[in-house]
Amino acid sequence: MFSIITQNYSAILDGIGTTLFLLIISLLAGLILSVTFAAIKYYRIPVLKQAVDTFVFFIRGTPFLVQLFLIYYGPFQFHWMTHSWLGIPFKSATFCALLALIFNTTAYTSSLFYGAMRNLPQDEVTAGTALGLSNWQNYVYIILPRYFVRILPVYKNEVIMLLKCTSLVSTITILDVMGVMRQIMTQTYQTIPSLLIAGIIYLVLAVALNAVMKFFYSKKLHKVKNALLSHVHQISLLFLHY
Amino acid sequence: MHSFYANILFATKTTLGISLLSLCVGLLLGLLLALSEISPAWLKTTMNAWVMLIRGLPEIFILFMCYYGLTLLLKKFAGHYVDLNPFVCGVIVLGIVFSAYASQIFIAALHAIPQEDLLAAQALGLNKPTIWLSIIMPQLFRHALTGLLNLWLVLLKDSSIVSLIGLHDIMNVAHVAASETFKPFNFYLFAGAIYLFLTFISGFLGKKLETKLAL
Repeated sequence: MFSIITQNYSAILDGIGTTLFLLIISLLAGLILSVTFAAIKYYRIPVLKQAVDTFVFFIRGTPFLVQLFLIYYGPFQFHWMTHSWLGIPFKSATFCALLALIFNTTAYTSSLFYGAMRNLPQDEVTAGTALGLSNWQNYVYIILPRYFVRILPVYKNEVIMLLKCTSLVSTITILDVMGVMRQIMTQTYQTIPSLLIAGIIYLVLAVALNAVMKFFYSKKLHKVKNALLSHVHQISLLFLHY
Repeated sequence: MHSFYANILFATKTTLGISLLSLCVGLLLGLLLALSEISPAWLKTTMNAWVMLIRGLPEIFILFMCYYGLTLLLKKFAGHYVDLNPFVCGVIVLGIVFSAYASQIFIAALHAIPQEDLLAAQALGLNKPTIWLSIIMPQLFRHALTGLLNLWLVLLKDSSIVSLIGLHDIMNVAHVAASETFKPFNFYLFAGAIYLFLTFISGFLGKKLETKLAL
């Protein structure tokens, strides 16, 4: 088992790098998209709301593997796709994997965010509106910090889920942790040790991510929230009292 | 094309079969794991660690581990190479994964049962098996239903990864058809549509069941 690590440590490190890269990029893009999607659903913006609902319905109803294969293998059935600039990004497996991962995390987290938004106490939002905040200001200063702090324990699960999801991209030739280990597996015939190393790496990553999120939840986010809220919050509280 | 439809119909049956069997295995195992709540401390710690382990590992890892590990184990016992059935392996893996998540839901549901019910049952002189079967279990399932429904949808979708070890499920048949005809878009879209149909139907039926059993 140790000989596998010592002989392939650079490949393994590359694999960890790829997994983390996929994870972080899709998390960030997914976060921005799902905050937007949740806002679209919350404010019931016509047409866009239906589009978001359809998107979520399709992504949540189909397995990740189907989406991944559809994005990676699908486009090249069409000749116009192969011969135009549109097809160029789809030739990269990393791009396809990122697309599939972003779609997935967006669909799941946007429903999560929307659910949290609906359950927020409406008093503060109403107070914000009464104070003359626009919908946009209301969303950024009052709703967003509130629900973000609430959602974090659940969002943590979503991050771990996404980490586990990234292991599936090894099926479209990407050499992430699982991909590297499957490659080593076929080269050395040391099936179980290579798999075990992959498992340990994923476990360590999951534990580390968990710890990072916990740290954020306990320290940083409360500060951010308080800083954002203190201003508007006090005024709105005053407003509610009198 | 005609044989594809026959194949995909059969594959849909396989997907449903493996999901339903895993559901049964997972529910039983999940209940057992949930019993850790009322067992001695060392058992509770071990079971919690097990659940954390399964929840932290990718399904594909558990699948490969089970498939290759069991093959090696069987080889050692039998003395020659044994071809492990991917269906059996899939049921084991999906069942284990399902049980890890289901146990958390069961534990939450167990805590949601009002203590007065148990006290009343005890005061009425019911014995322990009766209390479990007719007081706790019905309430447990009602509280757990929403969470279990979600898990069932996850399970249905996760069953597609068993195609990676050669089970002829929807995903596998679509993959074969796609590589034979060079029309991947059509076939994967078709596979996606079937999964969508299955999840939609089970979501619909689940909602009905939920309203029927609502407390």
